[in-house]
Amino acid sequence: MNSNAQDTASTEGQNDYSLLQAERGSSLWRDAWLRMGKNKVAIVSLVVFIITCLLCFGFAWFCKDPIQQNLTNKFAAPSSEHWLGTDAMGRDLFSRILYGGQVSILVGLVATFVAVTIGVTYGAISGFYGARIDAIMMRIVDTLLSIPFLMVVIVLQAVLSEWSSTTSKWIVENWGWNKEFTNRATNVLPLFFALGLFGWLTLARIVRAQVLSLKEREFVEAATSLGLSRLRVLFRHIIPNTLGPTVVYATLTVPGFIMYEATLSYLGLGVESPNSSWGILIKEGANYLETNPQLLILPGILFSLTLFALNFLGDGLRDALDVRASKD
Amino acid sequence: MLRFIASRLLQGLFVLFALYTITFFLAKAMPGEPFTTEKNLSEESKAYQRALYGLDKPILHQYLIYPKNIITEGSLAVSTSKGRPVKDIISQSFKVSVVLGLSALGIAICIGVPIGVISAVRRNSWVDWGTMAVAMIGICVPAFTIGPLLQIFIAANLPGIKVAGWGNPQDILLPAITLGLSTAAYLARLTRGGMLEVLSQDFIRTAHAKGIPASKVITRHALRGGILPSVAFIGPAFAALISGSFIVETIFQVPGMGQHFVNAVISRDEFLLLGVALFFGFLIVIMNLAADILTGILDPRVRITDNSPK
Amino acid sequence: MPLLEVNELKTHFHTRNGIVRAVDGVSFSLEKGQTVGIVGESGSGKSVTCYSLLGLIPMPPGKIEGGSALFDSIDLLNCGEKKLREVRGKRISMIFQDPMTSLNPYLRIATQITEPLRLHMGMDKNRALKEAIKALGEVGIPEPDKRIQMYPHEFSGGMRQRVMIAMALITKPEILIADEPTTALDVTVQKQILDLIKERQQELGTAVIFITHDLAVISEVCDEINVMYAGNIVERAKADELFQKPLHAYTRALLKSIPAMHAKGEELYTIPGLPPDVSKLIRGCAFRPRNELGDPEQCLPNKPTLKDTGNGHWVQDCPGCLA
Repeated sequence: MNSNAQDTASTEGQNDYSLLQAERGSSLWRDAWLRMGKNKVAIVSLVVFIITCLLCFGFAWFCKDPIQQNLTNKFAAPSSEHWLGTDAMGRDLFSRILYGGQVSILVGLVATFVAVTIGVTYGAISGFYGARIDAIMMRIVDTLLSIPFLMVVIVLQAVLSEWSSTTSKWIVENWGWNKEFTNRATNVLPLFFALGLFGWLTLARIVRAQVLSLKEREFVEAATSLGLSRLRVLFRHIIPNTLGPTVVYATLTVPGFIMYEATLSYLGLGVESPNSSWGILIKEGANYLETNPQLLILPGILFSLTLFALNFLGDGLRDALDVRASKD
Repeated sequence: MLRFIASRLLQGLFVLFALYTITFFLAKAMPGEPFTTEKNLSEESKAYQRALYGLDKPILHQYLIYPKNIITEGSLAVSTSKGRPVKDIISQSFKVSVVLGLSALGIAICIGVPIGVISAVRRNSWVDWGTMAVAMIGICVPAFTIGPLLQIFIAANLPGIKVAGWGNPQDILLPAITLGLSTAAYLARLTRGGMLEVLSQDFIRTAHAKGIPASKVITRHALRGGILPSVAFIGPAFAALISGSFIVETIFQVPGMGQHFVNAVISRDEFLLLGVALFFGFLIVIMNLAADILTGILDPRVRITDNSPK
Repeated sequence: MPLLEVNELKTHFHTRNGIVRAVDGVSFSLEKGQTVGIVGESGSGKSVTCYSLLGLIPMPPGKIEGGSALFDSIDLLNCGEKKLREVRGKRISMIFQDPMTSLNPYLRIATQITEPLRLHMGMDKNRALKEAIKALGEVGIPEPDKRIQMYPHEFSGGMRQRVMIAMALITKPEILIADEPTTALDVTVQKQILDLIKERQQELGTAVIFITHDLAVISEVCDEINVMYAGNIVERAKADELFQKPLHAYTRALLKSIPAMHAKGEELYTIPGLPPDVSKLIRGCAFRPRNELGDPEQCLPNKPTLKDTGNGHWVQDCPGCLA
């Protein structure tokens, strides 16, 4: 002990303080929220995203039927009847954009939910049990990560879409649901799973790294010494503490999945016309780009705006929660 | 170094095998049959076709015979939808795909990395804000929006640049830009992050303390470490470019391999699907290996401990 | 005329949480070949003082608000980046606390150590390499001609600090600033590095500014010691004088908390409380809240100034702290 004593004393004091902060979860999140409030870009993004969601999931129900064709009224200019005009089939563009947004945003959110569920569980188990289990589980993840994501999703989507149309038929026959509605609903189901089933890999690695470091912390030892079972320690004490990075990563995954949905639909492998999604609308719009550019540009703008908002929101959350970009 | 490359190649082989397994069983699970797309075939001729392609054998047999044929005969079987050997189809189109992919990657690197470096050095200035906002546009506006817009605004106004098609050298330009932009944006963000991380380290302070001019501190001391995240991203970036090429080939009517993959899924052509998937997988394995080697050259610490990150 | 004369140096950081007055009016001077120590707790501004001299403060948020630092009739604080660069790394060099992170992990030792020679002395590659190998040998690195082609991660912490010292001294600078050069090292290695710095200093006639929080270290190497607290120098004296006759309450508290100065079994003294938050404006004597050995009641309500008590012993003139 060469260094002077109060120096050590003071650093220890700070450590105690920061530990206290970390474990009193609420104050951590409150701090993050305060930091977030200062980030204007993130706040604007949050507002933009909420408005988009309200439009697509709330206001859309008061709009025209997005599938109703009217071939005598093609490419109509904006009017009080059709706020943004009509498309090549005389369908109301505004309503199609909002309904399309429902599909795109839902795919993004639900697929992320699927991915987060798998990724957190997998990563937590791998990190918590460690040793050989960890080595094998992570080697699997590494291997899957080297496989081109979209290729597998395309094939998986093809497999699942058959299953979805069978389901749709079965529901209409046995439960007597409205056929159009059922079709619309089941059409997007495969996308949820196709994307979610392969989108969890990076998250699993992030969570695992978190768990590995959390495992060594005192409060986990304390919980173990109180005689809590290993699984209980994992689910009650460790996983909640991985929430920060998970939230950040999930927020950044949603726009990625929305982009994948659009890509698949564009290739004719996702949502199928006459159902609407932003990918479908952009694809249809591209055909009339020279004569009616608004058919591409209007859905394109809302699409890109939503992606902007989600990406900036994710960046803002990362800064606010002080999550460092994953090192590997 | 040789041992390092050998172990990575072995790992790549493992990846290819996993890719094969997943694609094979997914292809088998795909609904519909390969020959239903043609006009009403009788049941007998369908059965005949199935036998011809070996599709009547037990699944396990089919699963094992395909890789065996690749190894022993170098054969990738015959496309059920085109009636031609998959190898021929690939050999006709892979050059196009590789040229397009590499030029897109080149464009992405040439745009993305310098932008990332500049915005890191000018952190929190309007240059930083501006370039990062543009990079965000590159990430958020999909290729299938940028592509048509480029067709309208550039191809229509510049003589010598065609809206679509493939044949002259300048035809590469628009598809490659469309394909490379989002990768450029990712690279810019990664490079910026990497540079910021390095610039905050102690050894940069040491370099300044030695009296080295600021510009040289960046090029000699910071750049190497700063571009490491981008180098590690080359593999995934190339995979993303392949995904993107499916779309770009459609927009600009480029006769590459991407269209074959999409068509193979639509027409349930499992041999073409497997062949193209494995070839793409092979390209990605090669790019990953290149990235690993480059990382080893840039970062001496990796050379000794040639393990994957913890 | 002293080699370096620092006058009323003020370095502030303009952060989101207010102005951090890291260094708030520091003056000291350094004679040729002399070793001056700056001692203080973390956050007392001792490192910022030296970084300011070499223009290594990140700006923004840092800003040098005033003062001068005359070195060979060059004012380091106001001479401009280009002029400063000719001094930095050539006539004034620096070594840092953590040798693990202070060397560039991506470049060979050879590249890094020859850099100052090629930059400041205009040497060609081969001559610079020969010089560098010689310098490595002089700091006690075995097989320097082989080791020079290695990378930093192939060296131990102590060896890396030796490389840092060789690199800093390779241009034979007039001043070496050593920022806690032994803090990150094992106790056994600490002594070796201190001896090495002393030995090289005597050979080259270099003056040294030695920054540390460790009084035991500073007593071994320094001729004169400055004690810093909250961005100000509170006491300055010759090393022996300071240890035998500390005047300021803070210095007395520091000395009292060194384990070696106590009889075995006696309880170790600790200074109560934490160093003040320099992002808040401190009115009056900064040490008052922690002043236990003096009389806090008598501490000045406005900032105390340094006064000479004779024999080169300066102390902040605060009756509370001198009591």
